[in-house]
This record gives sequence, structure tokens and C-alpha cells, in this order.
Amino acid sequence: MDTNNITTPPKYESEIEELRRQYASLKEVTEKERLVNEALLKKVVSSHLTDIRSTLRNMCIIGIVGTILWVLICRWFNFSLTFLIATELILIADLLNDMRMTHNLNPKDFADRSLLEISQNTLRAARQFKYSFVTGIILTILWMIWFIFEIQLTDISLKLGGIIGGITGFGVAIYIFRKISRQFADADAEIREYLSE
Amino acid sequence: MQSKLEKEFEELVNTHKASIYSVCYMYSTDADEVSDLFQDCLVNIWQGLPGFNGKSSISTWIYRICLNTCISASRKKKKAGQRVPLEVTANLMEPTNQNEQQAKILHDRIQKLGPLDRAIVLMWLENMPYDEIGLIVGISPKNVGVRLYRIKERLKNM
Repeated sequence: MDTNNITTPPKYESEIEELRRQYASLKEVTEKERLVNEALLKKVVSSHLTDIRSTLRNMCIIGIVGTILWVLICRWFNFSLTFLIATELILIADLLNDMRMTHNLNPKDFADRSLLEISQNTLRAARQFKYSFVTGIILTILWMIWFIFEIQLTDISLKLGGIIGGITGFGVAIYIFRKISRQFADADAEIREYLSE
Repeated sequence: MQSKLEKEFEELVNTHKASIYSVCYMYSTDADEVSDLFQDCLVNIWQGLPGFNGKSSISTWIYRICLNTCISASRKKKKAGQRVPLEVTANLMEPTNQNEQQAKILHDRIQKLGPLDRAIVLMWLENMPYDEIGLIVGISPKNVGVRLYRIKERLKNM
């Protein structure tokens, strides 16, 4: 049945018939195929978790780079050794936490576990993420006060650089948090529905 | 134990698997690529399913997702991660029977078209009305007719 609303010129009729025949053959072949299997469905349904893991992995990479760069930044700004060590400790703790969460959302486990177990794992990871974010906010506020104090001791151009860097870093952190929270919220909605069955 | 959404998704995929596969096949050059695209389409359908508002028919919505996935994948050719193989016995890239050969001829002809023209001709072969095709690709129904006329002319000369 042709539902299109423009008349086809007669010279193309045989061509169109041929195309339709070929398409019908393709449909006939593919209709007979099973195509979708349980492993594929499980992989697709777990796709949110894979996305979260990938974001967390990226955060780990940023964490490693940040931990190394901080030493150079501290030298450049002439920050105190205590401030350097305190910040490094916070960064390392954050990095270890991200790595643990990434490890807990290992896709290799998805194949061996039931979807219910995967879902419970995700709920745990979401809770961990919320706790670590609240802790992170408190530590960041304390760190910012200390940072402002440290930057007072530097010259004007470094102050400007520090302020721009601080604002950019804060923006990036908020963006990452919003992204992960959204992913967790999607996964959470699916899990809640899953668990309610 | 499956959730309502999962059951709905599984049924949906099984009902429309031939259309999804056809789109992926037309945008691929080998069997692995078909498998990758098929998986990407399923992920996008799954992730978009809770937000489906029923403004268009479900088949149109699925078609739109598959075309978007395949067109953007053909632009980016991104590196695929670990994949689950599809349960498929026919090899449409190396046909062994008449039906598979016919499908391969169609594939080779459609492959010569650009991504947008490929999408238009596929939807036309699915008997979608021009206004629906126009809505999906973002052109007027009249333009769909004009483009199809040119596509048919090109296909005839191939």
C-alpha cells in the first residue's frame, strides 16, 4: 500500500517495484532472525550504569592529573607546604573514592549477576555518591577559605589567575555533579520500577 | 524477574527488530558494524522509552531514533566498546540465497546515496507518508517528493 501523496511517473514504475521487492526480501530475511538475545538485553538495560562508570572513570583521570598538577600550582603560587599537603590528601581521598565506585560498577559483573543485584549495587553507588558529594562540599568550603587566605599573600596577577582558576574549577565540578546526578536519577527511576515488581 | 518497562521494551524490540536491523544494515559496510549500530539503537530506544510521549506512532519514533543513531555514527565512526553479538544466522553481507542476494543488491545501491537520501528512501520503502518523512528529516512534504524523485532517478542510473 502506497500512502505517499505524489504520483510516481510511469517510467519509474518498474524501478520502484524492484526496490520494493528487494526491500521485502530484506524484511523477510530479518523477520526470521532472532537477533535479540538475553545477554544483549541485559547489556542494553544496564547501559545507564556503563555511562555512570565511564563518567566516574573520567573523574578518576581528572583526579590523577589534578593531584600531580597541584604540586606545580603550589610551587608557582608559593603556597604553604601545609596547604599543599592538605589539598593533596583531599584530592587523593576523592580519587580513591571515585576509583572504588568505578570498581563497584564493573560491566564484567553485569554478565554474571542478575539485574536485581546490579540494581542494588547501583543504589549503593548512588548513595555513596551523595554522601561523598556532601562531604566534598563541606571540605571545598573549608578549602576555599584557606585558599583565599593563601592567595592574599601572592601578587595581583597571581590573585587574578587564582580567582579565574577557582571559578572555572567550581563550574566544572558543578557540571560533573549535575551530569552524574542525572545519570543516577535515570538509573534510580528504572531500579525503583524494577524493584516494585 | 522483569520490570514492566523491560517487558515493554523487549516486546517493542521484537516487534520492530526487522525495521531496526534494516536501517542499521543500510548504514553499515560489514556485519560487525551492523551489530554495533543495532546495539546503539537499542540503547537509545531503551534510554528514550520513558520519555516517549505518544505524539507520533511508536514505529515512527523508533525509526527516528534508529536513523539519528546511524547517521550520527556514520559521521563520527566512533570506536565501539565491548559488544554483545546478535543472534543472526543469515549473512547479508555475503549472501547465499536469493532473498539475501536481493537484500544485498538493495544495500549496494542505497549505500551509494548520502546519509539523508538513504534515510528518505528507507522511510519511503517503509510506506511512511511524505509528511511523516518530512517531520523526521526536517524538510517539507513537497521537498520529500522532489528529493525522492531525484533519488529514484539516481538509483535507476546506477
